[in-house]
Amino acid sequence: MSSAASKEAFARYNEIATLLNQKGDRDGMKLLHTLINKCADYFRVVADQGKLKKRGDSASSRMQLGRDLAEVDELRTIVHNALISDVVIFNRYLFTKSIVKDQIPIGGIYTFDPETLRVRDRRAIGDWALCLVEALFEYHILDDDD
Amino acid sequence: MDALELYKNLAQVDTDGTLIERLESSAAGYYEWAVRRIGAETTFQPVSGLKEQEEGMYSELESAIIDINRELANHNPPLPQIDLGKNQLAALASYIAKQIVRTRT
Repeated sequence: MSSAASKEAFARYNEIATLLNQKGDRDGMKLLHTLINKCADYFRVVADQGKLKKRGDSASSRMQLGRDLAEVDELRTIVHNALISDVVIFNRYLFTKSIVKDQIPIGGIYTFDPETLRVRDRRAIGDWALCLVEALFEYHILDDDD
Repeated sequence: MDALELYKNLAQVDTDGTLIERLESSAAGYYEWAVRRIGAETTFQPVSGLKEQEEGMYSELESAIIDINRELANHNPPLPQIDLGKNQLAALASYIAKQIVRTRT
């Protein structure tokens, strides 16, 4: 595991998933699954944007590249907004409606400074999502001995 | 061969960057779909379809590596090839994903 932030994000994810599962909170599990997909969407759009930017000088049509970049930039904003929205929705569910609401740690699923979520710090929330994605891959794939 | 050495060697055989783009694209796809499948499994949601997507992207990554290995072998002098073991490919995908994240704006 590469960073303490990823470790922490992964530990919290496991803690909350286990709590929800033990208490049979199906709505919570579905919301958590949706959130992970939003994290994966965010990674996807970051990767697509990086790929386009790398093409840069080798592109045959600079105008086309410009259009593609503008398109992916807009998509990234939409995906990022959806991610932020889902972190907030999931945390609200955890603290107000979940069967396990009394056992949820401060910050809920979000392990970075809670203030960064409160003020909707886009960079921090994006970083957190990528930390969680990284941790899920490393713990489940790289540590898999099969 | 570690990932840094791989990129150094790739620069010698992939002058227009198409092999590197294919490698990075398939690695990112595999990483993304593996995470989606893990997300579904750990929240007890259906994984059908996700496993197939993950395996498909893994096959694309493998295929990209096979083509890269051919170029590395044809270089004069021949350059070290990439191990096609599952753990090695997963480690490479993880490295590439981290580079994508690190260099994002």
